[in-house]
Amino acid sequence: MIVTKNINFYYGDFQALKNITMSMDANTVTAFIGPSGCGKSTFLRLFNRMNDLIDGTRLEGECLIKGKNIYDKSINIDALRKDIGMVFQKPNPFPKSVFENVAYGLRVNGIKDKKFIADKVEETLKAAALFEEVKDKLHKSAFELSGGQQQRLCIARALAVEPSILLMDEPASALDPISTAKIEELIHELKKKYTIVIVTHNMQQAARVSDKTGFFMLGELIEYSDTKKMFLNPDKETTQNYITGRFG
Amino acid sequence: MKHNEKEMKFLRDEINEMWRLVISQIEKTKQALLTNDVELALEIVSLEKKVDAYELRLDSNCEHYIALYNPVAIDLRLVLSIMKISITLERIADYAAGVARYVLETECQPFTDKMKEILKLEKMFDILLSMMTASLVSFNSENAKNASRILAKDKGIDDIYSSSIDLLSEQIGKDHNDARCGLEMMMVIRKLERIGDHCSNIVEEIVFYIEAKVLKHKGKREV
Repeated sequence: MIVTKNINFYYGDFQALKNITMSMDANTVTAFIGPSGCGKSTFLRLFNRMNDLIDGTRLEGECLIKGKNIYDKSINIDALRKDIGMVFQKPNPFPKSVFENVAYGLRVNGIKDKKFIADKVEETLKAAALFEEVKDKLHKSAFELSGGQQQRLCIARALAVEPSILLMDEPASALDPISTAKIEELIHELKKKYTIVIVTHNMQQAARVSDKTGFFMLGELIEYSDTKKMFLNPDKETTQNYITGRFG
Repeated sequence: MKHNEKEMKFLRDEINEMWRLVISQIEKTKQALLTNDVELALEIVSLEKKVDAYELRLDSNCEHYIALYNPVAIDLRLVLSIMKISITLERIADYAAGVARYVLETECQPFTDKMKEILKLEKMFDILLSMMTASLVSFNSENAKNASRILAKDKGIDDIYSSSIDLLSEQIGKDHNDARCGLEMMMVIRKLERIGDHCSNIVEEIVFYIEAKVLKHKGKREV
C-alpha cells in the first residue's frame, strides 16, 4: 500500500530523514516510535504531502502509494489528501456542530443530497464508535464533547470522505486512559477497512495496537519489524536500549 | 543506577540467593544419602520451607515489576525466566527433600558401599551439582554458549537412571522379599533423574532469556 524508497528529507540544511526505505501493507497498523526529533512525524507527514506546506523543505527519493509516486507532478494534492486522512495529537474539531464536522468533507466534495449526507454522518460516527454517545446532541457544538469524544469526532471527520489510509500523529497522547482505550479499540476495528500509520511516544500503545513497528533515531530507520518481535527480541541493540529505557 | 535497574537487580539477587540455597540443599542431600546422616536429612527437610518462601516472594516481586515497569525485550525475558526458574528451583528442592525423607523414614538398610558404587549415586549427584552451578554462572554472565554442554550432562544422568532400572529389577528378581527396598531405592534414583530434567529446563530458560530462542520440547539436539 505504502512504499518509500531511499527517502531523504531536509529542513533547509538540516537533514531530518536519512535514506528511509520501507513498505507498509494494506489493512495493517504500522507504528513509528523513537525519541523526540527522530523524524517519525516528518516521515508520517510525507504520506499526505503535509510537509509541502513548510517553506525550505526538500525531498529526495520516492514515496509510492498504491504504486504511484505521490510526489509526481501529475498528482492532485486535494484528491491525495481525501484518500489519506489525518488525525492529530490535539483534537481539532471545527467550530461547528457535531453533525457539520462530519458532513464538512462531504459538502466540500460537492455532495448535496441531504439524505445521503445524514446517512453518511451516522454511518461514520458509528464507525468511529461515537454515535451512541452523541446521537442526542448531533446539532450541538463539537466543543461540548469531551476530549476523547472530540478526537473520535476528528477520526469520523477523516473517515467520512472514505479514505484508504489513516495517518495518526499521537492521537491519544492528550487523552485519559479510558478515552485512550476507546481510540485503541477503534484502531483495531478500523484496520479491517483502512491502512493505518500511527506515530506514538507511548511504546505500550505501539505494542498494543500495531502489527509492525518502525524505530527511528536521528532521522534513520534503525529497525522495522513485526511488533511482537520488536518488543520481545529486537534485532538491534539500539532498539533494545530505547524500548527498555536504557537510553542516555 | 536507575530505579527500574535497582528493582531488576533486586530480582536477580533474590533468584541468586534461592539458586545457591537449592545447590546447597543438593550438596547436603548427597552427603545425607551417602553417609545416612539423619541430622542432615532433618535440616534439608526443614530448609524446604525457606525455598518455598523464596518462590512465593519472587512470584510476587516479578508480578509487581511487570505491573509497574511494563518490561519489554530482554527485560521482559529476564523477568519471565526468573519466574519460571524459581518455580523449577522449588521443584528441585522438593525432590531433594524427598530423598532426605527417604533417609529419615526408610525401614530398609542404608545403601551399601557396593550399591552406591553400582548405582553411581555419587556421580549422579556430582553431575547434578555441576549442572546447577554451571547454569547459575551462565545466568549471571548472560552467556548461553555453554548451554549445550550443560544439557549434554543430563544425558549422563539419564544413562545412569536407565542402567539403575536394569540393576534394581535384577536384584528384585533375585530376592522377592527385598522388593519394597528395591522400589524405594528406585524412587530415590528417579528423583535424582527428575532433578536432572529440571536442570535442563533451567538451561532452556536461560537460553530464552539471553538469546530469545525457545528450546522447550525441541530436545537437546537443537541447541
